[in-house]
Amino acid sequence: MRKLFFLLAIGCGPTVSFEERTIASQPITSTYGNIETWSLTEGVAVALTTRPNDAHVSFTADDSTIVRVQETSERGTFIVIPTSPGTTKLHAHGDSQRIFTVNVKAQP
Amino acid sequence: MGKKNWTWAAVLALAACTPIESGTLGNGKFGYVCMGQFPNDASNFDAACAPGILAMGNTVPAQVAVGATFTVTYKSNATTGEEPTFSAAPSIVALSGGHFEALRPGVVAIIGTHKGNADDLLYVKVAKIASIKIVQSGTGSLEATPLSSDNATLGGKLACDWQWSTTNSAVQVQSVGRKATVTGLPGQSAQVFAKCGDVGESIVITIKGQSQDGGGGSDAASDAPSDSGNDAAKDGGSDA
Repeated sequence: MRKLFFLLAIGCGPTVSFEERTIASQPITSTYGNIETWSLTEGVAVALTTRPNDAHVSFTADDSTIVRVQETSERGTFIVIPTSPGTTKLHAHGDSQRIFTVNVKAQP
Repeated sequence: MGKKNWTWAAVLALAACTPIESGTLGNGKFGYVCMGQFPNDASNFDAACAPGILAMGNTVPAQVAVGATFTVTYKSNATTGEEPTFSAAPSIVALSGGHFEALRPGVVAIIGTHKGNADDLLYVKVAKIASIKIVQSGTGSLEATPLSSDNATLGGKLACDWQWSTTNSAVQVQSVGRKATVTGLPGQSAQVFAKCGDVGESIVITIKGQSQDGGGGSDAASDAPSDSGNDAAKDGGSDA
């Protein structure tokens, strides 16, 4: 019975998704969100939205000199800040436990 | 300055300090503080600034010049006071001494913060000065504007000093930054050059006047519209 409750608790837990987006303003493009690998451009910060927007999610990057993610004053909306070129892993914590690979390209 | 003028100055100062441009996310508003030499008109130095002594509260320019300095303010909708801004790529736009400095060409998000976190953003393009446009901005007055390769006005207080000169010693040019006043005897013509760094432009002007005995400069005017100024440059002034 305990196992059943445990499985139900896991199954009914919040499912968090990240809105997948592609922003293209040639020659700069950004693709990120609900995909394993994000492609961003140095200096071109982008907005990331979670669904549902009241989920508790935070992010840490293995190398914070390459990318940082901070939640804005609007719940569920984050700003992804690709600070310098390189590749790193970005970990989502809280209601989401995903790991993304983030590639930050230099400015063209 | 009289009491009435001080009142107006205070009203203008309050209006000028109000950020006026919404960020991309709509979480707050950005403002642009012109970097002139107070009490001079900041628009003498920053082409993104509207004329006026209290040249603050302007819209953040879409493009700024490489080497230029500028200041961006931010006020989140969730607060009443201004909060810090920072650059998403310090190698392209650096924050130094409370001002941004555009270091190299690129596109950068300027980020406004709330309680220490990123809150909203605005994109600014940094570009080299590709050309200069000279136009007549009033009777006897010329104004030079730095342009990018796609002919956008470049904002920011430029790293270079504006240099003005004339081919005719009978025509005098007095300048403050990117603005100049031309005086001389009626009927005199000259090619007037404006240069910032290694980019220059010229315009052919003719002094107008009603009397031969002078009064000279005060009614001086260029009879060359802005288009003819560009034509003049094609005749050889651009590499002055």
